[in-house]
Amino acid sequence: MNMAIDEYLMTHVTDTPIFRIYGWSNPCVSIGYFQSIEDIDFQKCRIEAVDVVRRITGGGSVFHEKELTYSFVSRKYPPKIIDSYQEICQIIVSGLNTLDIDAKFSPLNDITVDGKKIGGNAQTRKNGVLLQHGTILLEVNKEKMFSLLKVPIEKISDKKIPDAKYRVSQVSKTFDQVAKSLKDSLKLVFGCQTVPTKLKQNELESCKKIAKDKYSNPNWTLKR
Amino acid sequence: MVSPINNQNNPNSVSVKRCFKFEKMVCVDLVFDKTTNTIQSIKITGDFFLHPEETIDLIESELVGTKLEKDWVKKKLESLLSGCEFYGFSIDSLSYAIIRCKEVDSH
Repeated sequence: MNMAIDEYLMTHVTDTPIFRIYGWSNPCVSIGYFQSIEDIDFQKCRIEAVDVVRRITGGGSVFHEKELTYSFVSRKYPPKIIDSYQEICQIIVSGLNTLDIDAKFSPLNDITVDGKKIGGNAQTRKNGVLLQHGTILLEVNKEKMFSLLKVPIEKISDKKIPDAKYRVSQVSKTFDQVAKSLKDSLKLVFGCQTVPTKLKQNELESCKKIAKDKYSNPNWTLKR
Repeated sequence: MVSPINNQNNPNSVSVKRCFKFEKMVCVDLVFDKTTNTIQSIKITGDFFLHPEETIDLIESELVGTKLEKDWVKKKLESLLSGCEFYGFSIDSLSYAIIRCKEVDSH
């Protein structure tokens, strides 16, 4: 449902950007648009009752459990990919800085603390609209995470630390603390007012339809 | 890396999968005809970014029948990726990755 809501927002955003904050009712692995389903342990996800969803954004696989997830949808954005990540990630970095977390933007699409990844981001652009969704790890079970995600040997072969799980960390704050910091950061970074809104019933129905027709459809999930 | 596999239906077909770490991971799953030196099917996966995303389907279908030589592959990719935004690979590196699959077979 989360991916369906993000897609719905992307097709219905006006000139006012949307920043959505959400969590997950059930643990889930999301895989990037271009990834092979073989990049995750699909069988283990089933056994562990972890949902699997393919995103409309590129990037790598993500295990969503105890985290804060956000999406940013806007018709105005820097055209260069790296510039747009930098600008949007500034919301996250500034917000976490107010919680005394020394977060940094780590190009292209990561947020790091002390050199360890505490969040990732992924974008798509369609019909003049940018969608970026991203995560902030509040608490991470690394054993579980890396038993579900397969990290190719080629990906870690050039890193100083061979085991991917040593490059991941968490912010150890509550969902509400981080959510508030991001809302405050939006005002600071963009100098704008924020207006909290919720999806209307008919909008939720549209999202449910997208979730059923696309994101729950094996043809989409297993397409690559 | 997956070792080359001969396709039972076509003894001239060779199937290879190789992954490369460029700015992002790029994996190429290639089936080619070693006699005609042409691509029979190709799937390109990884954690890279490409806008619009659907371009990947076009690339994979348009590369079928292309001669497995760097200049041919590169020329095709230049045309298909024209106007696209992408991060994690370049036209040169993607061409290299595709051609390297063939070299695995010749070792």
